[in-house]
Amino acid sequence: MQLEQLPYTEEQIKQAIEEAWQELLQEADAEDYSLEEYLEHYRKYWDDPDFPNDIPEIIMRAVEEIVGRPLSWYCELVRDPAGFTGEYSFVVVDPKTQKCLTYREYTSDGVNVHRFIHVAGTVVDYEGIVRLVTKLLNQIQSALADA
Amino acid sequence: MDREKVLQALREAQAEYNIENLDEFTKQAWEEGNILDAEIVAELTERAVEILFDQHFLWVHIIESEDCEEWIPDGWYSFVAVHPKTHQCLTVLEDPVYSWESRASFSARIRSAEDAIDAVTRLAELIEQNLKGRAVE
Repeated sequence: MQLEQLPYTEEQIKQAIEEAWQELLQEADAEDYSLEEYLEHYRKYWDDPDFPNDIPEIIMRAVEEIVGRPLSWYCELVRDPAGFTGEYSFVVVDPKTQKCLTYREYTSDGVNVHRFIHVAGTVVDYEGIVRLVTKLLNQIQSALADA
Repeated sequence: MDREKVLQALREAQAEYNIENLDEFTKQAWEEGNILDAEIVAELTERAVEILFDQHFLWVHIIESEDCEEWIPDGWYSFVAVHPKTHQCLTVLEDPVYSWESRASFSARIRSAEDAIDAVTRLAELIEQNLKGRAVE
């Protein structure tokens, strides 16, 4: 899939998420285990430090599948004093140009410019993954269009 | 990167954050696992780099921890810096063969004043390389 084919559909996003999950299973040489089953465990043990958190990998593999090429990225699992909040914060960089694709800015009052270099979202279920992949794709598409 | 310039930048950043003894402060942030002090260590490192370049950058930093549940800082920090005008990621260290495996972040251990000097020096050198072209591993 090439960049020119964007925008993407929700169906494509869901397919890319499933493909990302299958890839991870194959790499881990794991038995057949559905994403739904994984997310069920995730909901129970997400703040357990020993729980293998594959959410960032699933999200970025799905994004890369739709964008059509690998991207450099960095993900922070957002915490507060009580522990992991369920929020993931991504910085995505185009390896070809080194441009930060998650850079955004807006003015709240027409004077002050607020700048961000990350895109964040909370994932507690499958819909959360779809929402965050969509949010990242929208931002990346907009950054690539500005280039 | 000239050590004297780095020291001066750190002294200026220290003054901005009202820190008298950087060595004690960084040690304390690590040994006592104080997350708020660790935040200041990260911000101070970023500020020292900005003073060296005499310009602001956009930053994301992560205070690393060994114990994810308790979130106790282990003295390691990761930084991502982006140029506010060009949006270029300045902390990318490019893999010469597999560009997509390039690292977007810079990691450093800061548990003492000497570690802080080393972190600011290496971070500033990486940013300098990326401002000139591309930093390659």
